[in-house]
Amino acid sequence: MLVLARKKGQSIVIAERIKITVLEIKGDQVRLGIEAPQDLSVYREEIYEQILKENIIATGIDVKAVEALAAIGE
Amino acid sequence: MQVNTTRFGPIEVAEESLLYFPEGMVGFPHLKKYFFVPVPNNDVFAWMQSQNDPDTAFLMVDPFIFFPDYDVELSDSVCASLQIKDRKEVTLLTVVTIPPQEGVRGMTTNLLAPVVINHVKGIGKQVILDGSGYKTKHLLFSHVLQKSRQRACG
Repeated sequence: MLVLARKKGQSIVIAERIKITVLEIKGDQVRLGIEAPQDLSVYREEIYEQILKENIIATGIDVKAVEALAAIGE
Repeated sequence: MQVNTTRFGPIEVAEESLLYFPEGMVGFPHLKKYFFVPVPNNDVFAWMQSQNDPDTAFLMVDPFIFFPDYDVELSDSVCASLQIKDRKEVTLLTVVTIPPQEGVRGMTTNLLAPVVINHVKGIGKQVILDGSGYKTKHLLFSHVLQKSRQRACG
């Protein structure tokens, strides 16, 4: 892992396409500004992990389980 | 072309009905092409089957049927990446999961990360609505569960 020290207002540039700027430092929280091309998705890691986990569970659905849908009447 | 699938056997798929997900689904970046397989006698749900991996299919639902107040705001960057110019080009579906204990009655859907498709261009993306307040599990048949619980209590 590359470790860089940055101060408020300073940035790092990744692959000449992505710029991450330290906007604010308050206690143990840092606010970051991210400038990236529109085709790159940027997520908070814990949200990403949550969706990933849900997608993996979703791909485990058996086709037989879905057949039971017909049994649910309104 | 013929595509082999674990759940549905071999399926004939027209090239033009393939959807292209440039980033794949979240956690599945290597699987970029999908097509829909209908659920028999049911047009609320559909399977979104990977063309490249026979095992991978997502059960999808039209969320607005169950959650009429579901509110999705697509950012400019999402619209740009899907080349959306008109909302008529957009199909929005959400991923379903079924808990093994409760079966279909306990089905939930992921309103936090809907799948947005430009059906005119044939491109799609799973969008994460960070900060929306939606969760990965929203119960589809909450009224069915409530009814059965009421019955259980006499």
